Amino acid sequence: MISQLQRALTEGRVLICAGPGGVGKTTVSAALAVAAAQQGRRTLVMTIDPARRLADSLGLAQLGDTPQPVELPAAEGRLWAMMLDVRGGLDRFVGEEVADASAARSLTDHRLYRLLADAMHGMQEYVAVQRLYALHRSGEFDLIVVDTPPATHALDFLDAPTRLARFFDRRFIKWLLPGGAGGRFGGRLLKPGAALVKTLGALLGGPFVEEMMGFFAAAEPVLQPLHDHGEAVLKLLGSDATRFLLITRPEPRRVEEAKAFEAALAPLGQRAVAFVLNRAWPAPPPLDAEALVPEGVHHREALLDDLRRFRDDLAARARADAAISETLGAAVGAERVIPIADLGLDAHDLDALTHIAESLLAG
Amino acid sequence: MISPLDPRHAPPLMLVTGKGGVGKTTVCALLARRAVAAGRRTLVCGMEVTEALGPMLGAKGPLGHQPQAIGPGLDGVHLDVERAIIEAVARLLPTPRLARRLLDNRALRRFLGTAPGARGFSALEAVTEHLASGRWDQIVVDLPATGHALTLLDAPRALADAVGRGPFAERARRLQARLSDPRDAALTVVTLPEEMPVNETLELADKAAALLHLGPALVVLNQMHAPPAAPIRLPALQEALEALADAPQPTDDQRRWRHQLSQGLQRYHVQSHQRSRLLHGLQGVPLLTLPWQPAAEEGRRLDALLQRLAEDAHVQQEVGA
Repeated sequence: MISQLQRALTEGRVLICAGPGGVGKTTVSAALAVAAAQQGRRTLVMTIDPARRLADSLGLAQLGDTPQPVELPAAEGRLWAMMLDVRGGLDRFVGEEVADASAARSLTDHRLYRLLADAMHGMQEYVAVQRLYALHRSGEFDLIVVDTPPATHALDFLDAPTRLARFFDRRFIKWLLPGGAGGRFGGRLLKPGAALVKTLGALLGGPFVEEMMGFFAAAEPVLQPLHDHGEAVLKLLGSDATRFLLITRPEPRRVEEAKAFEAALAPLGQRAVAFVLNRAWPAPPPLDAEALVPEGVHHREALLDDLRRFRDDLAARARADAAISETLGAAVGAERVIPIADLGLDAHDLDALTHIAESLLAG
Repeated sequence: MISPLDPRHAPPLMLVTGKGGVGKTTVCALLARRAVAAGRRTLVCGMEVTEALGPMLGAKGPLGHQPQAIGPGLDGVHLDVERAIIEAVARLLPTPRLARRLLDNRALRRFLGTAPGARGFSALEAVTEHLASGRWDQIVVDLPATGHALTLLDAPRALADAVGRGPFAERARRLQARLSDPRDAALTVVTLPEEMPVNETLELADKAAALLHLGPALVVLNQMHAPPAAPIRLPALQEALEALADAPQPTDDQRRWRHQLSQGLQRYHVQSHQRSRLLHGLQGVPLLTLPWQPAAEEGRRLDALLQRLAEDAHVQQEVGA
């Protein structure tokens, strides 16, 4: 039977690898991208901040935010990889959306734009979905595998498409900007416009409020695109072209976080193709300690005790992991749970990535 | 004397961060339990979307925006950042009427909820307000993961610089000064003995010192695995593995165990190497090493960790070279 994950690699156009932090998302994304490419699809893996050795194994040592081809020995498939750069991605978006170059520059050179790009909550997620959408639309790739940013919360990723549009709330800006009407929306409680500007001025200082108004005026040309793109990205995330893979660890809290993420997919009409339980320890083989340690090895008796204790530790851990895997299986369907052994030690060349993909796809 | 390692003398604000998934929340709970055991009136403070601290410490119900009792000497709060923003802005406005008028505006509330720096500033304001209340000697704050935590801790400075002058900017500067005073606040970074978490910790240490004048006061190295045999017998184990490798016809189990044990050894060497990198890179920051402990049941895990810390205190605490 072909697994849902294999289907995602074969039929999907976008595969989003999500889950709590520190669970091996980057490694899993890279491994699946290698597998998809080896199966003949033009595949791009979009990653955020890969471990050095993983980056090296993909040839990403010096990479910016444009797709770079990755050498795949002994395969006709084609693979690209890129690392996300928040500032670069945002500048690119403005450049693409604002036809007049000097208007674009007056926005990207604005002091508050710089502050926003660096400090705004969820900006990395926003730029990630934005770049994903643009690259998907370019048609250059059959499949884009997305390694989601290490978020405060995995859900930030789903919230991202609309977050900027909310910040640039058009009613709010209308009040602020000179000539903004406001009254129509202002409601009973606040006479908008001048009164709002005055109150904000008392709080923030007049010069800053003026600067803010200047910034919103410069941002005017991107307000509509921001809104439209947010909608379009949400549509892509909710369409059949996009599949979600949840990656987590066999720990009760991490599993709950992954389940919460899946629950948040429901409004998009999506569910996860699978839950990868990374670093699930397999049960150790039966131990005949005496047969492992030849006579004559130093401290033999004490070493035999050490080994038995080590076996007990491994067995306890494997039992705990298996129990979590079973509970998750009962909740989401056993066929959607893929436990895999520790990837941490050796996931650092293409062969290792291929091997990891094999164990993921065998699940 | 202020000493972040000593639960009796830690600075009143312990700000805890670390790369996602390293056990940040567990360490917060552990620090809180140690503080309570040392007789300090303690408040734990979470602010992420999932609220894990309360359940871990045995709170009866979910923690909310108002502090509530968890156990003797221990209270908990889970900041609702949107509310913290409104409270922070309201405190800055001269009259409640003006505050109401401004904050009743939904569009403005949405703007404030997403404005860069507003979340971090307001969350930190809420924490220092709790400290100022005098109800607690020790507040343990479960910050977001590394990158987000830096942004959050830097928010008062960023806001003050952005705005320049006015009551808001002044308030932000006072907050910033307070947080970078080692008598008031200690940044605690949780990490794992693995390449990426160690890299990130060293980077964070540099950035926090440069940007916030708040270098880490304590680093907790979590989930250190025990080697397959006592360190003193690792050469003997190596000897046994080599003999096995030369065995003419090993059984399946022998081969599998040889693999298991080599992996265990490799993990131990990798972890020890990362630990020395950390010690070397931290330059004088105290390091607290916690043994790996099964995750199955959080309360029991905390008990076991506390016990092992008590037993091993001298071995487990050292200072970076």
